[in-house]
Amino acid sequence: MDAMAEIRQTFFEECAEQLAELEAGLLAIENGEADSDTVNAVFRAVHSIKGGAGAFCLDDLVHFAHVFETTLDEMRTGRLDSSEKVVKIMLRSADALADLVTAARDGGTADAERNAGLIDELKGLVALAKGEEPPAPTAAASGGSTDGPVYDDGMGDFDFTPVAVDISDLMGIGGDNKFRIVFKPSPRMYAKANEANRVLRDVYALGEAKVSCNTSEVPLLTAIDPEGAYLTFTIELSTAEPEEKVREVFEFVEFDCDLSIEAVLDEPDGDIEADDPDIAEILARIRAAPDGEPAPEPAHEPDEEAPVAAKASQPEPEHAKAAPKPAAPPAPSAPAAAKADAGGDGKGGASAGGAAQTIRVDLERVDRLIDLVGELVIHQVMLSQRAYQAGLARASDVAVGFDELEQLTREIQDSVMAIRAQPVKSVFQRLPRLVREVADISGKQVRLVTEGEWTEVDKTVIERLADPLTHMIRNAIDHGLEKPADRLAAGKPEEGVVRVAAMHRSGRIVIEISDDGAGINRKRVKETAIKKGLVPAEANLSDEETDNLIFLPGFSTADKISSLSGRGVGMDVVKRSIQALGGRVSITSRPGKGSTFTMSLPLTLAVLDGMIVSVGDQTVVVPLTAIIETLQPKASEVKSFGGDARLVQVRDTFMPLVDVARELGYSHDLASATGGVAILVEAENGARSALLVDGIQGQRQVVIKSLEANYGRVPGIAAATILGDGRVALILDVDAVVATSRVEGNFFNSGMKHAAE
Amino acid sequence: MARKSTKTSSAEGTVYALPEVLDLKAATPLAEKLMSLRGQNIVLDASKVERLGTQCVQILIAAAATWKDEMAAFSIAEPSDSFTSGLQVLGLTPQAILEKEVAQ
Repeated sequence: MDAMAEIRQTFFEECAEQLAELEAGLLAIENGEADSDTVNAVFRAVHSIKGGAGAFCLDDLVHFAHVFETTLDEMRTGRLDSSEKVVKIMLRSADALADLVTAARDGGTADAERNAGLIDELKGLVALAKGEEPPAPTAAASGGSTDGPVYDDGMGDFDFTPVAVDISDLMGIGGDNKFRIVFKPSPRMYAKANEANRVLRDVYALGEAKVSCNTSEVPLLTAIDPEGAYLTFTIELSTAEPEEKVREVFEFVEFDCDLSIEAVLDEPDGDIEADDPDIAEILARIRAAPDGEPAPEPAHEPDEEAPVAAKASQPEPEHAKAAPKPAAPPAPSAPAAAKADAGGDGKGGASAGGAAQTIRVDLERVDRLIDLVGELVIHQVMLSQRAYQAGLARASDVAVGFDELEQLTREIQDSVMAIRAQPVKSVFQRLPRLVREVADISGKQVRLVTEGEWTEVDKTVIERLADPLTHMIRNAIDHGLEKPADRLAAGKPEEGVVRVAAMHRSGRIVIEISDDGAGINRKRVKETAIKKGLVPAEANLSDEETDNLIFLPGFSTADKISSLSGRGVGMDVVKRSIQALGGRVSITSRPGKGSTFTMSLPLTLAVLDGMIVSVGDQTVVVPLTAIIETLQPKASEVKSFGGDARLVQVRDTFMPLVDVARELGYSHDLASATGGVAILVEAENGARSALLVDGIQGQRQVVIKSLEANYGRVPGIAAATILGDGRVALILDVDAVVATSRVEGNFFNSGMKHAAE
Repeated sequence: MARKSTKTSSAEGTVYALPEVLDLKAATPLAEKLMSLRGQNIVLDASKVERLGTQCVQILIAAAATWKDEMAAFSIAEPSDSFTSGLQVLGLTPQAILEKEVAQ
């Protein structure tokens, strides 16, 4: 890949992130959770996309992003209210922007007509916002040019007095943190259409700022490069915001300027104003050093007497621009931080701060590392087992060392797994658009509520989670929610709510999709199932069994619960894909109140909780997720059936007894049913069977090794692992084993048992 | 973007009306224009200025220093609000521009 293509790819990756940010921000605004941070984040997202697109000459994208950005700028400055109508237009614009990005990446064209319409709507909003304003000299929304918003001239009404600006009293905040910022733009910064005055105005918005400009580097006119950079700004900022906030202002330009931001203590103010800025800086550094953090200090009194102090007496534009910032207390990061806590990980908190440091790593490298750590774990277990076999005393120093080594390797394994772990946010953030589209098509009003989006889970799981989740949400809207009129008639608000929540629960991730619709129409479901021959007509089903009928293969969307047109996918497909991930799905539904689908998935596909069992002289691992219970069959409970087939009676049901040793070809004789242990398992289709094994060794987490990659596919075997003694143990593919063993086995109660799960 | 470059003579020297928009794109033309006016007393009419970019400010500073170096009169007349506030954001005043000492 040549360098340009690589940069291009990075750009599109970043675009995806920015779009996610954009959407998340807009939704927060829609829900009224917006603060100035959110609006700024949204603005920045569009701005970044525009900037990058400009570099690649993606004119359509730039043009649209520009208009969008202009509108967002109005919102940012507070001139445009984030009313429902406005946010709706913005959300649609975000979708259009995403389409444009996709079109730019993969070729093809976006819906030009729709985009033109949106551009008009956006411009309309700008005009609306500017209605009260003196007309701008050149409409920033002229489009096409990349510099419009950067040169926004909303500063026109500042009154003039010498050198420094003090607008803190207008904004009613006292700064607790003081910073000395030395900001020297480089020509590159201007070349990228970033303006120093823009940055400075953002600094003013943070608190009380005194700017002094060092012009000593400006050469004579004969020697000047008109597009060079010669000015150095020293800003004394007193603000309530933390240092990260201050750094954020410089986010766009930090690589294109010399920048130093230092926390300054209050008392030495006078000294720091020393003539020589170098000395002042050193002093500041020394004073800041002891605690490293901006020291809290009494509210700062604006220095009225200072010759450099100035008052802005006509506040309108600046004030409007500045107001949202101070209006936001330090609290805004709190909800985000809370979400991060829900994820049980610091990652969310870091991104809430807006300055999460990340690197991009090839997935291959991570996988290799995970693989190696898996080996390490195996070898560590092997080593300690060998040592004990060789007669190592449990209390010896070496044994203690082994224990510590074990702990360490576990920790390494967890940390490495955490690299692959990602917040489910990446899936959740695709949902709002889906919901909007499905809602539009079905003519329903839907509000999507997501919770626990910072919950982390392995990347592979996330990737394979998207499809089932999409289907389930579609179903929730299409089949679950009623039409607005019906909702009103039922005494519910017109707008339906679909809630998607993710949480960690006992080492698994649980995702709940609930709607406040009518619940499952059990009568209808049962009728359909009977008509399709899935259950006998006379079957007496419990509510739960009826609900679960919708997971039956064959209960297709062609015969839907609602009369809406077919867009859904059979729930059996959903269930199968979740089970393929080692997960389970269940329903609870209350008539008139809505339904909740609960998915439970393993956190990773790299390790597996398994029951270690002996089959013949082999050791086999049975995935714990498939196991329901274990029992020792009594002779009276085992019934022969047909040729070699056997059934075991468990309480009041019969289920096929699968002789694992025979199925896997370890032995050709029938194992004695009473001499072994029966493991009750549930296959993906919900059928229960009993696996007959010789004995249970224990329960353990094992590292999954692909058999296909290392050897070849073996029917009945899902994968392999390496045990502590260095032997390879096969992981049973429960479904395959049960399926191949199946004669007409579960004739007696198959229908009901299918339905029950 | 109508750029007014009307030149009229007055007692103090040539009057040059600064364009309305002094943004990034205006920097080079401004520098060229001022270069062409070198050697004569000059009054910059800043009353029309609506936007003032940092690079144009640099050029004005350089021009002031150049004029001073060449012992010619250089002044800024009727600064518009946008002009002064644009300077103010940068921590500058029209006075500060004129007082710029000759570098080198």
